[in-house]
Amino acid sequence: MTAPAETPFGLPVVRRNWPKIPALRLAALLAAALAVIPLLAVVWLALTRPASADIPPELIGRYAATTAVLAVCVAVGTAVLGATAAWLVVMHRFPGRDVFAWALALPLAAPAFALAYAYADLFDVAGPLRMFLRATLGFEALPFEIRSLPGAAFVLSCAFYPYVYLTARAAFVSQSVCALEAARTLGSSPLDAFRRVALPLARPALAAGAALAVMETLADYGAVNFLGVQTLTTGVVRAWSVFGAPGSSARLALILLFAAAVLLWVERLNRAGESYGASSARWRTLTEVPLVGPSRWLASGFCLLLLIAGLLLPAGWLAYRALTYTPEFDRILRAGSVSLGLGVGGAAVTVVLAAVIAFGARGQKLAQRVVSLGYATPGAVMAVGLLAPASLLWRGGMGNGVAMGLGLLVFAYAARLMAAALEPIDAGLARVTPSMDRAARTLGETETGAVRRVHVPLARGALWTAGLLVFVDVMKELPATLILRPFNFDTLAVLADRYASDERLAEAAWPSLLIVAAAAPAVIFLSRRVAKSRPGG
Amino acid sequence: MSAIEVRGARRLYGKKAAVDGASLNVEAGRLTCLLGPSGCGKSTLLRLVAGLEPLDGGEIVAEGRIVSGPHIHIAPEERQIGFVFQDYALFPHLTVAQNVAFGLTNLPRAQRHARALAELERVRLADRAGAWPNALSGGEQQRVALARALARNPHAILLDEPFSGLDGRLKAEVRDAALEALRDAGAAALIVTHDAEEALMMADDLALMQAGRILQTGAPRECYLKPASMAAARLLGEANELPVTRLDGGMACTAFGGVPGSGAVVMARPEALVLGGEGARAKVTAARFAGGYVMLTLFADQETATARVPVTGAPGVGDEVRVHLDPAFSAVF
Repeated sequence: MTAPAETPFGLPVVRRNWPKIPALRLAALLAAALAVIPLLAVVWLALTRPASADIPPELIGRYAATTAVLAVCVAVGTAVLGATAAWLVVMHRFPGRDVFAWALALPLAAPAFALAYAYADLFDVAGPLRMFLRATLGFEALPFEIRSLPGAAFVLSCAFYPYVYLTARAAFVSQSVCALEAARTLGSSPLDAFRRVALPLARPALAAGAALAVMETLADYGAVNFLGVQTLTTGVVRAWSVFGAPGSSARLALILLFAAAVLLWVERLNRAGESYGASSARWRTLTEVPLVGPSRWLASGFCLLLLIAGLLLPAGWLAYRALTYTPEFDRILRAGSVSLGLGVGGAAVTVVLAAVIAFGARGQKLAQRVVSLGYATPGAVMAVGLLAPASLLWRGGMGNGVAMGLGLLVFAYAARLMAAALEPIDAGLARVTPSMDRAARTLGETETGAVRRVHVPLARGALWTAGLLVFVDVMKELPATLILRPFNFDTLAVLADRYASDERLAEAAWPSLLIVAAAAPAVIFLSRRVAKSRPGG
Repeated sequence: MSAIEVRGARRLYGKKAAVDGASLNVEAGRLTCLLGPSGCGKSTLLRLVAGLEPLDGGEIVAEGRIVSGPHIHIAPEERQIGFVFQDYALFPHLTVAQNVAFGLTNLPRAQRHARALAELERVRLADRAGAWPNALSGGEQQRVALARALARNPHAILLDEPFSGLDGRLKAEVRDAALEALRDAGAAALIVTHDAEEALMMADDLALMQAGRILQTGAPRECYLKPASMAAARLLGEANELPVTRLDGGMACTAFGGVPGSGAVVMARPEALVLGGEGARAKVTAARFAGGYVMLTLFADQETATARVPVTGAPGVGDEVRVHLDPAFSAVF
């Protein structure tokens, strides 16, 4: 016990004398620092390496412009598709609604490049769709070219709409039904109430979801590269792999890093605005509008179409192509085990680091911001940033190459995905109110004991959720793996990319589908859990 | 013609009837209070009138037109009935003036703002027109919600526990302002509350509700002094239920005295038990001091009753007293 301190009024007050845990806090800050090391390295590389002539400035400008247009298209596309689907599913009853509620998130299991392979093949000049239409109609019916900027926007919108769907869904579910009912009693039709109340209230969530989709767009390498769209990220990978110019690579990465920071700012700003939804403390079971007549089939049709475009059609087509070909089983098996190992290892390391931050830096904004910046940073940028410190170690003759390469790769995953893991863990810990802490203390637990007996059990489900999220993302990751993997260590994603770039589509289909198969159970589990958790009820 | 007539309304949640054959009239220009314990279905009844929920039986007539009934359900936006929600449900993305102007889509854009300001003037909040709802105090939010509902000139306005979120002194202030605005607007008003004192003070007409049914309607005074049943009496305040031991010359007699009438049970308010004189003998078993008065627990002939007596000259625990019943505060069922 510390001695009672004197207050200005002379009343003795016993100071809080709970033991601080500087060790845990220090560990949290160190974990957060891991996420920024690669980013600082990128800045350092970009500023210190001499400019070389390999990538001329006008090309950089073109990359940036293409990236910006693509980002805007995907933002609009995902926002419209995701918000519409979420609104239908949350507020209406129509055939298949309960299944769509979780199934609409399924495209998250498919890497964007898998969709790109399938659509490019389907819509190819000599592809089955055009052949069929040409034969039946007698003329060229599809002016649309998938290997183009609009094509890439279409493919990425199909792949990334679930980000908006999930955030919008959560926003609509948490909205006070009273606000909608108030609008009705003030003379708004249901559609008016959606347009004038629900949509503006969900705007922050929509913006946050669209920001996530754009982050993924900036990070994507496999899909845009395959579709022949030159973005900043393809530039980063090319500058490094083709020209071997880390300076140019880093300069391109710096632009991406800046864009990521802006996106992050947009996302955070809008997250802050989400307190909108919390203005009403009262919940009422959502009165779902049963759709009747043709509109119910229209709603079902829209959701089904979205699911078909986002997953069923491309996965189905890839499966059809895959069956025409006997794969190199041993190669795929090896890549599969590498992917699985990296996925599990990456998830474990990332969740541990995120948990350290969550427990050690609770309520501290700085660590969380730093980690979020890592999340917004494209994998390619992260990899380029890690190459510089890696080469230093390499030259120092440290360790064996393979182990260090794998270590760096896991480091890159953790730096990038810590924020994704941190979010559910933080949410889980938010259930621990300060008075629960105090209750544990008054019942005779020490502070660490309270963490062990109250915090950890309450956050256990969240830890699993975090692990699954990271696992899915690692399985789909391509550019960072491409740059950092040790020689001859192909993951499924890398293997797919190598086959695809040789136009061996039937072979690329196998690893792509295996990724979907590995990620799908996790995505289904996560999505169903989210779909079940409705406030009120 | 009543502004709103509810005839035998029923609303089922699964097998349980939340509203079970309730009938009620709300007269134009008058303030009707719907009083009942929590969970009695009063809020559901309000939502049925507004059209926020479908009716499972009976019908609701507004201004002579059936708005809810068998195979009829007029959408809430077409009913011209205002609603003030318990949590006010102000739109957080709109300013105070924009909230009030929300329902004025029938007016040309230029007039909406002026109209909203006029409504805000009525609740004395014109100076907060540009503020955001979350910057307002609870009482101010309540007044904005009222102004928003009144702005459309509804022929009836429904208020769901409008003062329950406010505390103590603020509550009385806000209530007076709200009642003034309501009377000024002249619409029929139906207020749901679970606070008997509040209902008795505010209402022109009172409706007592329990377990999905309306027990009694009438003027507050009449409901209090001449309750239709024991249950109705209990809703409006403490009531002793005294078994009638014998009927004697038009008097129903109990352990604590008799009142004119005949029946099986006498309802006696605590203030009906008057001490002194030639009444029945009773023993004081408990005495609780409550400021201006004392609540006594009296025991006589195996019966207990609560009496409310002045502080001065109040007996103590263990004292033997004489007691009789004041018929003005009693009823026989």
